[in-house]
Amino acid sequence: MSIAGVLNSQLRSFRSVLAVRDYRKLWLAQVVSTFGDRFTQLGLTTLTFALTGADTSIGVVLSLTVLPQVIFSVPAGVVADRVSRRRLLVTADLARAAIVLALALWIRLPIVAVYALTLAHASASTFFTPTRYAILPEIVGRDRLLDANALDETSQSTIDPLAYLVAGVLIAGAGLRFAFGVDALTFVVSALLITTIIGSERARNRHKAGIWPEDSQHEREGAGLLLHDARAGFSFIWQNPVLRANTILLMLATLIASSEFPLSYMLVFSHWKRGALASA
Amino acid sequence: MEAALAVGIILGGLLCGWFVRLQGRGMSIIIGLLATGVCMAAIAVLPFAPAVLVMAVSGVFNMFFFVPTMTLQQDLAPSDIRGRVLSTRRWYTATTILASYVLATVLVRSIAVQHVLLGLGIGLTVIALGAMAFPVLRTR
Repeated sequence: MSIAGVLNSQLRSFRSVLAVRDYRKLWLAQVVSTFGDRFTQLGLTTLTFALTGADTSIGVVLSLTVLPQVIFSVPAGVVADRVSRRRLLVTADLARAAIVLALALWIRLPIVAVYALTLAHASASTFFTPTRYAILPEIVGRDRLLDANALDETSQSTIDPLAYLVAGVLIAGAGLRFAFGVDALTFVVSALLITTIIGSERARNRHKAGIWPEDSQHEREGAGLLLHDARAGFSFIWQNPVLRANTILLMLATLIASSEFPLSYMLVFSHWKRGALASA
Repeated sequence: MEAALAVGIILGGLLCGWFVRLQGRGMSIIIGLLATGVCMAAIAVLPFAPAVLVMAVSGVFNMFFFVPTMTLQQDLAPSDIRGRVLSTRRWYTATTILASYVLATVLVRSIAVQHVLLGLGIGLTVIALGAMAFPVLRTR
């Protein structure tokens, strides 16, 4: 098959996934909230530098966006399995909207408050992302899962540069407060779209009766110690031979492949002796 | 560099469905990692302009392992525990990425950056080649 044929076939598959009503809403919510995420990222670094004038404060803000992933990822998974995933997504979106709105409305914001709100925003995102991945199979089913994931990642990469551009123009033209206001609106729109998704709950309820009886029993008894629940995620990965092997391979690969990100920046600046434009 | 990577990722997203159906999820992941390793090594030894092109190619192959890996996790984890399985994997990934940044920073203190990238690229290629020896990693 020619490249054009492959691309046409994939675009048809994307259209087929988008024909699923609930997925279309989830995808639209992702498109809108990706704009929100990028607005927040650019807005926070700009605000921090405006308040402190120090490069190190930008480093602190960026670290605070990564830290909750390490601390809250596992508890987030427990919550995603214990409550309605749709409601959790909506709650995370509304929490992010409220946090960003605080940034827009708070006059004379101290830098400590910016750090605290950054941490809170990143924590809400840590609950959002794995829940979104977890809800996807219930919405599109196994057959369309690969195409849905491919469409998600393709959309994300297509939107990212545009979102940064729009955020930059908005911050430069209308100011940080207005940009944070628009940002809050994107999370509200995303929450409203997710609120109308109905299929996932039905699929999940059908599933609860069967495949994971021990866990369902445990859930019915309500003996939900966080540690016990969290251990189930680790245990499942290490007891399933395919997931165990895949996890070990991907951890080794990530340890090496992720270094490409900082190393390519270093290569541009120190080896090729070029600037920020070349990095971009 | 970043823009080239983004273009590659978009193209990879459009091609990965076809590639995974052709090769199966396991082989797609291994080939994606193998090609990413080769691209890393190539970027280390090439001048800037061709390295940018290789970065785009790297973006394509990033999707060949990222998308089937996510699909594999979603598919194998039962609904009731899927949130925990995916977030546990996310925790492993976030922790490994932090370790990776530390590793890169430590290595470039004593070794030239292009040699570090070349060595790590070869390392990733060797790991991917080694993975082919394990049938459980070649699962469809």
